[in-house]
Amino acid sequence: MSNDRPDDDRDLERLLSEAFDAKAHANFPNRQQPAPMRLPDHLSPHRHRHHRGASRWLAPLAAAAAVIVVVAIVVGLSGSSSNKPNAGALGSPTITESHSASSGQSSSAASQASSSAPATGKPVHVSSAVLSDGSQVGVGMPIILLISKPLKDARPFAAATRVTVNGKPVNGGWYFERKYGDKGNPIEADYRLPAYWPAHAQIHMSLNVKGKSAGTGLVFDNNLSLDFATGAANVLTVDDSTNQLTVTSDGQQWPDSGTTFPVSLGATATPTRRGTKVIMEKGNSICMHGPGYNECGVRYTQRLTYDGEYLHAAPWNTANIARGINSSNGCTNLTTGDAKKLYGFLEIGDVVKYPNADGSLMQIGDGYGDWNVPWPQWQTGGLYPVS
Amino acid sequence: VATCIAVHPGSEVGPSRADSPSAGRVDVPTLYQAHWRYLVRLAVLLVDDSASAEDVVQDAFVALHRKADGLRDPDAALAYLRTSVLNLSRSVIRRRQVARKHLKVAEPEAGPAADHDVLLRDEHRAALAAVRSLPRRQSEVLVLRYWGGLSEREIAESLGISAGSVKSAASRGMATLQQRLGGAR
Repeated sequence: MSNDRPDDDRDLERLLSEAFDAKAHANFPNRQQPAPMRLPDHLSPHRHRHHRGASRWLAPLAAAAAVIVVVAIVVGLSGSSSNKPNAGALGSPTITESHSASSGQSSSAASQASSSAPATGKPVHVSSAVLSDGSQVGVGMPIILLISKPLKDARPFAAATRVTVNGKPVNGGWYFERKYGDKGNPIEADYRLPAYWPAHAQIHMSLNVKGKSAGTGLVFDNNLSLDFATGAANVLTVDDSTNQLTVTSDGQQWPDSGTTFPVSLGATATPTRRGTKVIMEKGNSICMHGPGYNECGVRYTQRLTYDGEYLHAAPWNTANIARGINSSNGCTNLTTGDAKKLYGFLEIGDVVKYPNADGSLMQIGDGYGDWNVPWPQWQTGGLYPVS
Repeated sequence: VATCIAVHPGSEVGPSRADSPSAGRVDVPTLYQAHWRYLVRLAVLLVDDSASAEDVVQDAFVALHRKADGLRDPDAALAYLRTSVLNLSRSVIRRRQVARKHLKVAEPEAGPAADHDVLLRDEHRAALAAVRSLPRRQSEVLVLRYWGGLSEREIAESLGISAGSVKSAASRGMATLQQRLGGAR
């Protein structure tokens, strides 16, 4: 995302990540098991043993320290209780609120034009989940909108949508799904064309639904508009029979015609899902866990599914990557060098195809699985009929 | 089926679905098992020594335990724990500074004993020392950003400051580090 920064900065970032990780592991190696949890009842006598043991001279300050601890806990409590609603949003698309806020503003200014008498009823609000004005994304990125109430009629919504690519109207379609884990937005609507967006294109969407009915007793309370762009058409294919990942960018193999990237995919018990996935987010260094592992500092990660498939560096698995043996928990393991190259080159919305992986077909709700819904089915509108 | 699950929502923003195994009631012992290692590592980067780090994390879980009924979302619980660790670490450092001020004579000049640091490479030790010398907020932001894997917005929420302050703390911290370490690399 930040390719314009000087190399110095990136070197320093890497040094910091490594130094932090080295210190964290030196003090708490993976083999070290958690000390038993000390619960409040039997806690008080032993709590500050380290400070007390280390410094007898601290005794006169013990009372003050205790006060500070109490204050700190109170601060912790109040700090995080105020944190709670936000923290809850961690489980849902974190950027939703800020983006919907900005797009809400731009759209409220955009138009109030509903010529007929406005419908009345409970308000239904629409917001953008990922894209905002000025976003640049890969050609596989759907427009994802969140809707604050289940609709009773989605046809006015579909009819009020205008999408242009480089100024020319296009005929894509909405597909509605129930959305889990986000109480404020029980419905998700995704928009895509029959095929990927054109590369290097300017895309505009306007949804003039304010005042329009969403079915009996429901009325949309805002308009929404989005202006975003696509970059190069980057399409990755991960072949499970050769264990090679191939990149094409605007139709040309990348970085050159002879280069593919060896991978290790999911082991038999934890197979990688089949189908077309889209890069959802990127993380330079994150923590992952699963049965038997809990690792921080996993580098160059690019997320593909909500249930946890990523492209990422797996320096611990280089032997299997080189030999083409599938041994991961479902992730696509790459050498650090390759993962870094791909991390630097790809962006959110780029397409990653797994035509012959062993797992079941990736579903639309498990990430941006929109391309796994065939176009004729897409046109029905999913949860709600659109025509 | 596939389970390279990222537990610590860092830069990732994916909704955890209601039917995913991570959803449900907050169970403190399970959270302790799942997050202890991440949190003590975070704490040791803030307070420098492992004994204080373990204490900080114990206290954070005690605070969570008192509150567990009010927290249903495991992700919210992790955010709560992270904020507690930050606040408690800060108070450990403050306590240490108070103690040092009162005991200028007895206290050796070297910082707190970071016994495990002898295992580190020189360049890492130099980088960590440089981070320690930064103003508190800058070092917190850098730890959360480059080790914790948090987004700017999550850092802002954890520290209770604006996203703009996160950005400026990070860039000021990086500029200072670039100055201090730049020549050495």
